[in-house]
Amino acid sequence: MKLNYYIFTIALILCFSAAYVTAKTASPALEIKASASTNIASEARIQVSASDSAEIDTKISNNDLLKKVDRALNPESFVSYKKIINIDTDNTRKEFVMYVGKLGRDKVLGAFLAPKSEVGRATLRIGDNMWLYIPNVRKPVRITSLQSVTGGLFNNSDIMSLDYSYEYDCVNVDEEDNFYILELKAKNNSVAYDKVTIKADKERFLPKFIKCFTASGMLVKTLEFKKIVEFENGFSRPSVTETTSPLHKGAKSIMIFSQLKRKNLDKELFNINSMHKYKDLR
Amino acid sequence: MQKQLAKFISILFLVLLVQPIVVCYKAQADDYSFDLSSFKPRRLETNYNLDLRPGFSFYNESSRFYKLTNSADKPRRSQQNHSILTEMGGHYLLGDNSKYNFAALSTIKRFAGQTSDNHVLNESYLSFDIDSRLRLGIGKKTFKWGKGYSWNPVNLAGRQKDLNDLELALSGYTMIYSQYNRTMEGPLSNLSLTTALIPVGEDLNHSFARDKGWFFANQLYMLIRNTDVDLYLLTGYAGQNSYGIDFSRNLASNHEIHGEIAVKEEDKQYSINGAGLLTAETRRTTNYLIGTRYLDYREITYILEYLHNGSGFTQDDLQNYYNSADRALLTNNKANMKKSAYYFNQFINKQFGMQDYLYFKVSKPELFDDLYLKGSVFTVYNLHDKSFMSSVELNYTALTDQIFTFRITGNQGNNNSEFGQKVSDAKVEIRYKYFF
Repeated sequence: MKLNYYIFTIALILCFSAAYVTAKTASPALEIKASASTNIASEARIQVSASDSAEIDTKISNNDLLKKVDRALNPESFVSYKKIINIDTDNTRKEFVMYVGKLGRDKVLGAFLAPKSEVGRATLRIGDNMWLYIPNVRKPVRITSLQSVTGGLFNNSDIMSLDYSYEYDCVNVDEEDNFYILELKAKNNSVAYDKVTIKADKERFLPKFIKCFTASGMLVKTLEFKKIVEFENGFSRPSVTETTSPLHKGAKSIMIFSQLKRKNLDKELFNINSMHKYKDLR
Repeated sequence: MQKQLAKFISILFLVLLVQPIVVCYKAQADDYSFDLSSFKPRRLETNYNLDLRPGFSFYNESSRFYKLTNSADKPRRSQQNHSILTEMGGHYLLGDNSKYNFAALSTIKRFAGQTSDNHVLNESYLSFDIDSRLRLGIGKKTFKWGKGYSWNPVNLAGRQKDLNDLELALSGYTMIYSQYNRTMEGPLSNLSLTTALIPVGEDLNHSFARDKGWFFANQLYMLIRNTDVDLYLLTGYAGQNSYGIDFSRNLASNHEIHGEIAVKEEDKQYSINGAGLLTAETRRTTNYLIGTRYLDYREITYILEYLHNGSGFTQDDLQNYYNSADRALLTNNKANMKKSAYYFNQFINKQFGMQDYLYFKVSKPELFDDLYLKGSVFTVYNLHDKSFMSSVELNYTALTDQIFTFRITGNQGNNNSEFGQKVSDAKVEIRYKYFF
């Protein structure tokens, strides 16, 4: 009887080894696929209506413009300190300090450094997947993008934001004085907002306002970008994002970035079993 | 002791009355800068919290346990339950890749007129990062496996959480462990293998298993196409082999599902026969849980779980126990009454002690549009006898690093049901937690 268990253990280890070898062998090809995926939207459109080449060109240039907005907002990989302030209608406030890191297009981690009641909590996002680690619970719990680990007006997808071009297609671009108005549509139902509009300046592609809508077209929140700071040589972005919502009139949430710098964190950190380490990364 | 406790709580509440003034003053400052000097990493990092829990409960006078343990001529309607918990945790960096981790919990309780204290080193272990993928460790460490909120059948190498305090730190077991992590691109994007060797002896890890020997605990975690999947295996020379699997997946931006199942090959199954005697047999048991979490447009979160405890008592067992307790009370046989009370305490009065339950929780942050107020209600429903336990909880967090909790818990059910026979009808509790 016990022999069966040892055989099962060995089989488990063999499965693990096989999965590891398969993944390792498969990685280069998949990475190529991932890098090529920047034009996924336009390729899809080619298959659907190959005759309309003008529309394809527009689509490509729209998404290219969105990528420029992404790069104006953040380097593709970076680390930063982030303060989140939730201010209620009666001016009471609640503050959080986090250390955050982004790697590539689809990986974000974060560690709470303050207040003391939150120290050690950590967040991880890989694509559409998000987890929260609570020190006493000692295990990561899967969370969704519309929940909020901090409360206030920022939800998890705002706090662990990826490139907009990863989650949205830019379906239309208008111009208004010195600004582009980009209209974005969510790529799937795991994305927090169905529709987003970005008002970005034509010169530097930096957003001034971002408005988020539900599928029914209801405005959920408005993000206003303020106080442009040069974080590194040649890289400036707004250091403050203020959020208001017509659903919570009088309340606002603020996100302040500090010491943002380009850095490629070790990709092995983006694993749910590494989340307990995040607060020691800074 | 009781006087000192009351004095301590009074002083604390006095201090808390003054604090809002300070907080309001601080809230006037409106600058966008923040000082990062206090967030520099240190070699020794510690955190503490103090948790005061004054409370009282109302006796269920129709409860058999109440009748078995309280004399009829001295009826008691309620009793005070107070406790003070102090938690400490942290780590000390020994080198660039090695760390000493620790966590301790001290509890002082005043319950039914008796004061008791308990001091446990929950964790104390050394960890070594061989490289960014491989970690080795030795010492006392806590494992918490599984995806369920209320219960974790696959938590084969850890203790079960307390439903009334899901975030309470739990004590670990002494072990040697390794953890290998791998992050990749493609459909299998995360992989982790955790293995642990756990010795069980008279003075070491004795609550881990019935028999002495060495146990080998394994967890293989995979993130496959946006689904978390874990495989678990616990083997040992002393028997008690178990295996399990769990999963978790987001169906939408506001909807998650999860489930877990575990099989214990040599589990001890207790039952109570018609004569009221406890019998035990060793057999294979299967425990499982399936659940979902949903967030609606009003930011209300709903959690619903169905759970099956294969080693729990059946309704027949429970009825047999109640019949034997009734006979002991009717005949006023002191020895049988004592035995019945012992059975209730040791075997019956357990979290998920029966077989099939529903767990349902509703929670809402920013209740009544107050940024600091969170409300929640949860209920545990016994599907066989239709009895249930419900709890209403309010959390208030306006003061930095402090959490106030007010909680009322009640049990409902008929005279032959599980929750209808709990020793208390209702329990009122205040919790004040201070982090420093």
